[in-house]
Amino acid sequence: MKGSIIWNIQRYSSLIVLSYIFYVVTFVLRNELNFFSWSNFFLSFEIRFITTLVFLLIVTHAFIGLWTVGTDYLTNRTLGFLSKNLARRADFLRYVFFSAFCLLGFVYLTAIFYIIWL
Amino acid sequence: MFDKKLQVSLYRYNPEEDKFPYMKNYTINKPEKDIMVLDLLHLLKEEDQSISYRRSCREGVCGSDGMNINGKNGLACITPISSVVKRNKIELRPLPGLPVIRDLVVDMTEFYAQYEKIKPFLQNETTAPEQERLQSPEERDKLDGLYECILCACCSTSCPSFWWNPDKFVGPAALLQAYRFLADSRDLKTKERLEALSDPFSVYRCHGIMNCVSVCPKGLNPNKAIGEIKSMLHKNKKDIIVSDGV
Amino acid sequence: MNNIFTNNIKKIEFDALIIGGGGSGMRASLELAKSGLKTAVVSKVFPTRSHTVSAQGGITCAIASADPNDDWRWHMYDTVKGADFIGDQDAIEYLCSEGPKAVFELEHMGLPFSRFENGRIYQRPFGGQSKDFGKGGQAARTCAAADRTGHALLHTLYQNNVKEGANFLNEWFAVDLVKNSKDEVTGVIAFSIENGEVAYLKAQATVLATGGAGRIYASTTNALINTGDGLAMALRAGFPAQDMEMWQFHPTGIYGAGSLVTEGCRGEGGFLINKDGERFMERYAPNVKDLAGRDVVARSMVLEILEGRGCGENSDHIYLKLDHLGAEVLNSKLPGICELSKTFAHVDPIYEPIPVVPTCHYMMGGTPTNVSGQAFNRVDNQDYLIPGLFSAGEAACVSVHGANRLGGNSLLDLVVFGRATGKHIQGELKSGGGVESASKSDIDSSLERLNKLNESSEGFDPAEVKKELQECMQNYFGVFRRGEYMKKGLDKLNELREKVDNLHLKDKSDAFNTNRVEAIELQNLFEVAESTAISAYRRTESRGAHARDDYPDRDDDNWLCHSIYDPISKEVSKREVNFEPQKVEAFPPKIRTY
Repeated sequence: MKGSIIWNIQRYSSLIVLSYIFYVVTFVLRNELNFFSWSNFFLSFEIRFITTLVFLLIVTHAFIGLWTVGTDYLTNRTLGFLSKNLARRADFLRYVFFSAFCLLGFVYLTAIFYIIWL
Repeated sequence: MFDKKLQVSLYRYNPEEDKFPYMKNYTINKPEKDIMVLDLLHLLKEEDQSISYRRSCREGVCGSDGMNINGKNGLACITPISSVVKRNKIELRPLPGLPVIRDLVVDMTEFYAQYEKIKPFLQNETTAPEQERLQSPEERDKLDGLYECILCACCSTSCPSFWWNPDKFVGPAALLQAYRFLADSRDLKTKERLEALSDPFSVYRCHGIMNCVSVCPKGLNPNKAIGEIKSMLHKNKKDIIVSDGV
Repeated sequence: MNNIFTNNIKKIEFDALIIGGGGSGMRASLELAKSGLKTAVVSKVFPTRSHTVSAQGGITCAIASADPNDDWRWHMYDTVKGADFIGDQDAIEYLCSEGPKAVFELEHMGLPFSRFENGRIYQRPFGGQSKDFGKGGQAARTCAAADRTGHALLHTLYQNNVKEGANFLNEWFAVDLVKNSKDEVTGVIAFSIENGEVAYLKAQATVLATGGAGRIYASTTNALINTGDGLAMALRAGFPAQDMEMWQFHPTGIYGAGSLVTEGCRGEGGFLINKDGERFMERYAPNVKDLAGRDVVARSMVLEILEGRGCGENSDHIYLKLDHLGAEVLNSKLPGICELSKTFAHVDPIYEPIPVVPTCHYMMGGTPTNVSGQAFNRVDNQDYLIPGLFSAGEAACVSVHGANRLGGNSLLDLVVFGRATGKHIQGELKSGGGVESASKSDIDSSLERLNKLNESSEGFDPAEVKKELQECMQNYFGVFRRGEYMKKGLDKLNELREKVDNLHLKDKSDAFNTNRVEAIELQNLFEVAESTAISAYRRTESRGAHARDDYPDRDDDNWLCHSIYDPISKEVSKREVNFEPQKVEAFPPKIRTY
């Protein structure tokens, strides 16, 4: 994928997430907050749809960031500064790191989906 | 005066003798007038001839003697010791992040490879006129702050992104040169140049840390050039994707 | 690196080998890389660290930009006059008439020249430049990229070598030429500075493009690497050197540091003042004042100092005044100078004058060559081409600079003759030219010097001997020379010969051993210094940069000629100057005033 696309996704996702938070905070401040008003707020299809999208974006945003961290630090070269044994396992460690994150992200999204839609 | 002595802590490594590099301390009489770090090294080398470092022009234009002086990269020949000595101490190490050949001499192969990768030469295949190609002073002004780079590697070796991925991230020095040709009104390969930089590593590993700007001995601003490249990449995204056939 | 024998060193074969990665070397290699011949540039530093990078003001050439009527013949006239009439006029004609082509090529390669409003290359006035054969006033003929022209030129050449895929042996040090039994040059012995590996680099054509040797003097604008390696190799191989007494002292080296302050400063309107604030050049050169030839200005400065009108506590320097030009001009036209003078003179030229002093700058002499870069030997007053050996740039003496080089002509020399040499070698090798192989014993004898150094267990300290050599040259062979002093200097050099031949290399390691490099450089410096000293002693007149107290006048009857130094007999002979240009009438010698 092009660097500019990844760069854009990261920037725009953060902007969308920020506006979402801003919107929710405005709702909280402007309304009397109780169980009913909160549930009502989330009963609307639009809000639920947007919330799902936002969480998808959070995971994507985080993935890009952690992918950067992984390809910076969990590499043969960088780990080589610490020890040769670690460096030899760099590709494996990075793979484990990414897999663990993917799994976590999947669990996270499933939970969100469950909470919001079911 | 109290402090007539100067402590110099020098990074030493000779692959034929030392298993590991080590810091060696030298004490010398403080020179009467302010001298450059390179002159200091000459003085040390008179005492201990085995000290090895690169040097050529001794006036800051050839870029040979980039090194890490009290924690900050700079050119030894134009850094007065008065500007770096702290508590009568000065610590000299090789440029960080590149393999050390001996003492203050680093292997710059990776650095030069990135420079060559960006095709650091004017590309214009139209038939050249009998005289020079015309360029207005305004167009020429755009090259100021770019062409003056001396390839000393102070910037790239102070850049964490370059430390981690010197094979994939082009680094501030070479990106400055990439922009020098993108900005040249005589160069016609803008699209191809941008395309070659469009992957997630070449340019986009720059996170704007700005070490490059703070260390550049020529006062250049690679970070600004990288910003310009990024905006060009964004503006030309469509063309590039189409030409890629994606 | 002990006991190297021919049997156990690597042999690498090339068609053409270029020693030196500066302007002339890379211009030649560019030509050869394009031709498809197997070529390599051997450089003791990464090419962009070569001394060409320090050139500031520009490249002088009649491209008719500042003045649309400019003519290369005017440039030729200036150069002949500047050379005090011992420049070869066929070579100067070639330099000035081919120049525009070579400069436009550089522009097409991408050199970022400064520009005039109409988009053409910016040209500034430099010393010794005139219009209409000296009758039309000051010309502006020096093409410039701000005050970083050498840097821009060197990087552009390196970039285009990268483009053409030229081979580089970077941080390889050439030690000695290899000659076969017929005295043809078949390559060099060289070693990798990085790991000490020694190799015989065999080639059909070897180009010495190793630049000058300003480090023979204690005070010089030259880089620390300017040790005349190529010229010294040729001298050791028994080949002659021409006009070695001719060393240019640049009027404006920063006092104390030696860094160069471009003549462009005076071209842009700066001038020199003595301690009384007097613009003294008005007295010495009433017409062009501060833009007289460099030799004239340098001598005038020394006279001012000797007569007690020098500046500073010790009255030992002169001020270069620039502040009247204003911050804007200084920042746009001379930004590098502002930087240098702040760093090395602790002076901001926008407000204060820069302390300067004449400083050794350029070697007009060198290995004698023709306009195709072919080096020649001199036997019984006849020139004989040396098969396989070429030279270009400051290392060579074509001779276009004669007794005094004009500012901006060195960069032109580099590109014009680097290019010519490349083209000639290409033609010669493609038509089947070449040299015979060297025998084992030939190669062994070229290894002798390196082996001796590597086996040394006692002897003299190179760093100390170098200081002595530089002091000696500075004291006895400086701006003004006198027979009796030079005799003393020669005696001192004889003493030093013993030391230079018996250096002790303490550090014998292989990895980036700068000690070994410096010891060999010192031996090279000595060869050059000796040839300078003997040639200077023999030339009993004052001409161009060679000024003698005891012979204050130019002596055209006896010395309108080149001096040829023979390194074997250590004698100096005369060689006639060429007065036969092909396209114009020759310029006859006349009194040289500015």
